Amino acid sequence: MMALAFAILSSFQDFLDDPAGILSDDSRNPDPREGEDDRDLDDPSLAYLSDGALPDPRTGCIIGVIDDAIPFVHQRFTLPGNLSRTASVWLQDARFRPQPGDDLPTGAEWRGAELSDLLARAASGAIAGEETIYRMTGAVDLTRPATPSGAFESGHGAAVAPLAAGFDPADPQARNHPLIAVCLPPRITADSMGVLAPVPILAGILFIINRARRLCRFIERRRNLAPGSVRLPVVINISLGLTAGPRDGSTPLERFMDAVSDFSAPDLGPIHFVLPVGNHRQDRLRARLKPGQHIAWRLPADDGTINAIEIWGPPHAHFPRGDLRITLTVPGLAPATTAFTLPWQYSILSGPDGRPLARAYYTPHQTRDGQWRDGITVIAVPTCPERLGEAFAPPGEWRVRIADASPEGVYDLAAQRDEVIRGFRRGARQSWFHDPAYRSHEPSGFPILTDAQNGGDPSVIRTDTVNAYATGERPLRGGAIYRREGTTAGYAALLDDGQPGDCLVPVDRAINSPGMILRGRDSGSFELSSGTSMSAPQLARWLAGQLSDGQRPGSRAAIRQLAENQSARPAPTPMLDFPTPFPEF
Amino acid sequence: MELKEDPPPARWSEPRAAHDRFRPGLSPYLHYYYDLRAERGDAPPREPHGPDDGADLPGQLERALRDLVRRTFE
Repeated sequence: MMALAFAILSSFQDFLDDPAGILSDDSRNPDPREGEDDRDLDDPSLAYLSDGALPDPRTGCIIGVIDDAIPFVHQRFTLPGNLSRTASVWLQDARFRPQPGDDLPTGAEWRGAELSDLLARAASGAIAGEETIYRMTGAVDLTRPATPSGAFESGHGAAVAPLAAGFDPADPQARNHPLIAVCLPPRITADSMGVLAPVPILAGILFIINRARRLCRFIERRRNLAPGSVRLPVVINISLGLTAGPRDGSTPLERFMDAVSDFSAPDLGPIHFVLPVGNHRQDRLRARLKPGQHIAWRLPADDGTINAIEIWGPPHAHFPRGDLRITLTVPGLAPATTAFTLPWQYSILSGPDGRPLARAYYTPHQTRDGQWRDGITVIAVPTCPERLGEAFAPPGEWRVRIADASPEGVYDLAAQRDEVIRGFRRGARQSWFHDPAYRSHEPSGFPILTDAQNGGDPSVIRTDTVNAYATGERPLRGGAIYRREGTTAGYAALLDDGQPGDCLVPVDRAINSPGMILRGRDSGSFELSSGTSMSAPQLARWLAGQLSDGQRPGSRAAIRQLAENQSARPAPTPMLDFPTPFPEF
Repeated sequence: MELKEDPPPARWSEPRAAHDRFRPGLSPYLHYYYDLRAERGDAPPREPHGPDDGADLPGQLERALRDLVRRTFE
């Protein structure tokens, strides 16, 4: 097997070059190991799990979680006797640790046997408890410049990971679900647009696949089984998303997830991905236009971060030649039209004083069926400069027009999410599209939830607001309902066919009582959280249980059918209900 | 009747390639952030590219993706 380092180093050089500055300087591995060996199967210090935590080779199912600040020694990731069920965790931006992750490009890896040892020491009082473990492992380091999200009591990963893979230690299912976790660099989470995340996520997927295969070999070695005989399935939860993208399943991340799920590895079981459907149905971040039509793009004042929109054209057969042209009108200035001729060109829009206001990039790409789609990404510089002397753009109503000469067809527009993430101090403010024909609420005050309910023909739409990471053919997209009413959560995005996901699960307690009670970072603590980020891990957990039971759904439709068979409300979108992880109080 | 003045002009610069070869994670956003860091002196300035230097990037992306999938399970 190719060493992980080589695969990541050669494929993810940009991750190491770090053009956006998301990694801390001391996280880099100065000399990654390129060869593969079996030390991890023989050296007790590199063991993935203690013997008492090994899953059943026939019914086990690995759960992978990629998120921020995953509490990998939480009581819900343990078995009786202080045994860790976390087989491996990669802290991508932690201070570099040479062993055991010497094949990783950055950060620190900790494995189950050594985590079990730390848990035992904490239980005996030799070290001060979970908090000390997080500090010893580098998950929390308040001396480093990045936001210490590992210390957050109510972090995103702390809510997501136990929901996906947390079990009562005494639960007989627990042992069958080892966890492989990837904690993304905090600066990835700080960027609410999420546009910097695809490469760290791809690297995280590679890591989970590699460690899952090694865990299978480890189980064979410890159980004296034939090499290649243990093929545990894997469910990977990625509760992350983008609000803008081509939404045709053609981005590298989506195609990679599809390819991985389609591939039948001789030494690993099937791999499934579960993602949230998205939370931005009602935020006016999505529009459709035809050539000659235009729409208002409203940029708030005092925004210290960039605002961005993407425009994607209809499919065509010929190589991209710059047919798509857009006209951007900045408040107070004359309209200006792009004039690209070749892929990956960019232009800078300047005002009369020559100062930059925005950029446009021509980013056509090939679709899954071999056709091409023209794409343009517009990035407006912040309306409030982050530093004195830097460029800034006027806030207010910008206009985006698909130039008359652009090819006939429907053009998809989407604005990137741009909000402040809880715990991360940044001056982000959300831009949005404005169309007077779009109605957000009925005169009675109730929100309008669908395009049909809106009526008319507004350019701003609610359909096809799905998470732009989740338009591939294989991943399961989790939607949310209000537990008490059983109705779809109003914020949950819609697929292109108008459905609020592939499967639905309860998240918010009720329409007037948003959020669900979830575990916090420290064992025994709790937090309230909302959104389809909490749907995906519930479905990942359910799917892992199905795979443990011997089910082998070979497609998204087959998973959905499985859900329909088990659902008290199978149509129009199957709804799965689970006991609340906490008693309502 | 009061005539409204024409608004001042805005103009797009001549197109030039953002990248000259495929790198994973390549995106407009990364390109922007890199330039911002370079402006601030946190990264070395990049060499400017000609207008057609990125013409083969979509093809390179396809090949890189196929290669990555193959190597993931080698």
